[in-house]
Amino acid sequence: MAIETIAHPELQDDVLTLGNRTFNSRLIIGTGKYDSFDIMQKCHEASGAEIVTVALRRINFDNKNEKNLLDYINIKKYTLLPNTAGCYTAEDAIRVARLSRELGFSELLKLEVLGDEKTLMPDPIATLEAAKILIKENFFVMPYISDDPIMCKKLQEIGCPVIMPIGSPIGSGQGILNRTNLQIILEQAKVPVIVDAGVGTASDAAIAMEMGADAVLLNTAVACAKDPLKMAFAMRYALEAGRLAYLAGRIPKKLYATASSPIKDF
Amino acid sequence: MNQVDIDKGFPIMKITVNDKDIEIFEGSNITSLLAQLGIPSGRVVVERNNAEIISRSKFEEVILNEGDRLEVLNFVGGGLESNLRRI
Repeated sequence: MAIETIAHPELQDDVLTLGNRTFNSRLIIGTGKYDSFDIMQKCHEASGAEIVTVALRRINFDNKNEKNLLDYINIKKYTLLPNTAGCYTAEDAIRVARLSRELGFSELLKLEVLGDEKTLMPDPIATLEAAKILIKENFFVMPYISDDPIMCKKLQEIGCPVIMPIGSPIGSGQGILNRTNLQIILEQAKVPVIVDAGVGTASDAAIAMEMGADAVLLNTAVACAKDPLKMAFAMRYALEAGRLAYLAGRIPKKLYATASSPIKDF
Repeated sequence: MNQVDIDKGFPIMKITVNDKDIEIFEGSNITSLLAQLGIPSGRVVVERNNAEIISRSKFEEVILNEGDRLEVLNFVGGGLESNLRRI
């Protein structure tokens, strides 16, 4: 079955720009936690995503039959976004970033410096330190960061071309916990804002997009859904619905009713 | 090329790859090491002694020394599950 992944006609010219690259999809999808690479590949296609995140790991050369992730990602179609997952210090993240770039796929980098194993929340100070150094080394630094307007501002000030505040903790599926903060972040942002982490289901992604986020990055919500393929489609439609709603402009919220039908002259 | 001693065979040296002890011929380069380990060289990056990143274009050129500690890495799915604190 060929999967139709063309965006809604109203969104054909609505592109996400990251540096000198443009994307028709505003969904960035992960490659972890899938039951198999085959399912992952189908989900990527169904989601319409054009950017996929990848992690760096030691090769296990005792297991010759281990499948290679890159056999399941068409690098002509997808842009790889290497991450620094699992790094707890700026130094480690910088090292992983340099090694990842050496693999020669892109200068894009999801900078992730974790502060704590239980929450997996970012270490904002180490993230800022690492970002400063990596920007000087011409990486396109996309920092995973708390939903803190001040940190997001500081990361922009030091030259991050994108900011990626969390909706809620990684893999928690709690959606966007602090919409007020996200709204402030979106209002003050001069660079694209990508909501990274916390999406549990389609409505969470739609809300992020309705609020004006430029993109959403997710993995667990699709990979660990009961039916990952259905959820991948759901995310694609949610992203498009949310983006269309944002562009359409929502009505203001009011405390009292406003009649839809004429109430005079009948 | 070193002189081959018929009785001893080719001179061997020990290095460490991803924390495992490996024996290779003296004077081996990265390409021959990867071939010995059965790792396709197209999609890996190599780091030597926690400091030097060896790019693919240098795999032929860089000669390994006794006691070198190498990390051979590639891209995997994930994610936190591919914990990197050990590298």
